[in-house]
Amino acid sequence: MADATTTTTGRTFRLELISPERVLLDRTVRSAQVPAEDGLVGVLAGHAPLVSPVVPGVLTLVDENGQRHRYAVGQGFVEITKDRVRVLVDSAEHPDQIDRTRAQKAFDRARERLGKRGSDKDVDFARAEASLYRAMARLKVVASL
Amino acid sequence: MAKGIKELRRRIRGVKNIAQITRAMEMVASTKLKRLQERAEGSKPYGEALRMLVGRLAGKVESEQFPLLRGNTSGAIGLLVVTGDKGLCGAYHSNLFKTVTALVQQNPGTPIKLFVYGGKGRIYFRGRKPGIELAYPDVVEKIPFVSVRDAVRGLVKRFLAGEIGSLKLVSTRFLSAAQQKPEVRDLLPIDPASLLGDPVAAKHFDPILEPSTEVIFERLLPKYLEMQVYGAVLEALASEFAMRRIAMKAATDAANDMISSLTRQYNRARQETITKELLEIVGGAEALKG
Repeated sequence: MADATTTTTGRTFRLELISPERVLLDRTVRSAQVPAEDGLVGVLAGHAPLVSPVVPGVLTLVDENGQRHRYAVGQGFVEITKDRVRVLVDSAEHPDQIDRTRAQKAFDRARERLGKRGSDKDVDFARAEASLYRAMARLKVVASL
Repeated sequence: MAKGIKELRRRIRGVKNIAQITRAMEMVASTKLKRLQERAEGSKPYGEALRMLVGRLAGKVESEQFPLLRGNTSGAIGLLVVTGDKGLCGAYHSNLFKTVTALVQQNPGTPIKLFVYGGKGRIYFRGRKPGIELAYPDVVEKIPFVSVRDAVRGLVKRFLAGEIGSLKLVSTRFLSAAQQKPEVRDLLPIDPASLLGDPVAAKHFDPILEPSTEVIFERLLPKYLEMQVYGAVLEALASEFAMRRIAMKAATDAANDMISSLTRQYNRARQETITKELLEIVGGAEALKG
C-alpha cells in the first residue's frame, strides 16, 4: 500500500461487479468505494488483499477518465486481490434502472413495518431492515443523478 | 357416402389446426430454451467466484463448528421440489412426482415436509400423502435470484430451528437437449467435502478477513446454498422447455401423419363416389338404349 500513495491517481485496477443474474461490470477503474459491513471501504490500486461482507448500499467508482459512477447494490461479498476487486452481490442496479416511486414506496413500507417493532410478532424485522437499507441505497443512487 | 366425405374433410381441417398450434408451441419452447440457456450462462461467473471463495475459506476453518455443516436432532426430512407451471411437456412432471413418491416410500415413518415450486406441483401434492408444508407463489419461469434467496433463507431458518433435520432438492437435471432426468440432491446439512476445501490454495490465500474468517464463512454458506438452488431452478426450467419442445415436435409429427392418412382416406372415398356415379350414369344410359 505504501508504494501506492505517490502515484495513485494515475494507477488503475480491474473492478468486477457480479450478480447471480449476470456480470454487470468488468472494467478498469481508478478507485472504488464499497459499502462493506464495517463501513465504506475505499479502494485504490495496490490495496491489500481483503475479503469482507458487503451490505446493501451505494457502490461508487471512478473510471479511467475520472468519471464517477454509482450503483445500488444488495448484500454480498467483496474480494480484493493483487490486481482485481471482485464484488459479488445479490443485486446491483444502475440509476437508469431504478424506479424512484417504487423505491420510495418500499422505503415507506419498510419504515412502517419497523415502526411496529415489538407490537406485531408476524413482522420479520431483519427482513424489513434489509429492505429499508436496499430502498435507501436506491434512493441515494437516484438522487445522485 | 357424401356425408363420410364431409366428415373426413372436417377432421382433416381440425388436425391441420392442431398441427399448426403444436408447431407454434414447439417454436416458442425452443426460443425460450435458448433464452434460458443464456440465463444459466450468465449465472456462471457468480457461481464460480463464490465456489472459489468458499473452497479457499473452507480450508481455513474448522467445519465442525458451523451448524449448517452439522446435522441436528430432528428426524424430519425437508424436500424442496422444483416443478413447472404449465403442462404439455411430456413426462416432465410425472417423472418428478414419481421420484418424490419413491422417496416418500423409502422413508416410511419419517415425517416429510414438502416445499414446492411451481403450480403443477401445488396441484399434484394438494391432498396427497405428505401434504405441502409450503408452496412458493412465484411463477417459476420468471423467478429472480432474490426470490430464491428468500426461499432458501426460510429453509435455512427451519433447519437451524430444528424443524427439519435434513433438506433434499428434487429437480430435473439438464443432461443434454435430448436427455433430462429428475435427481435428488442433498442440500442440508452441507457435506464439507462438497465445498472442495483446498488447504493448499488456502495457504496461499491470505487476505485480511473482516470481521473474521468465521463470520465470512458463516455468511457464505447460505449464499452457497442459494446459488445451488438457483442453478437447479434454471436447469429445471431448461429441462422443462427442452421436454416441451420434444413433446410438441412429436405431436406435430403425429398430426402430420394423421393428415396424410386422412387425406388418403378422403381421396379414396371421393374416388369411390365418382366411380359409383359414373357406373350409375353408364348403367342408366345402357338401360335407355336397351
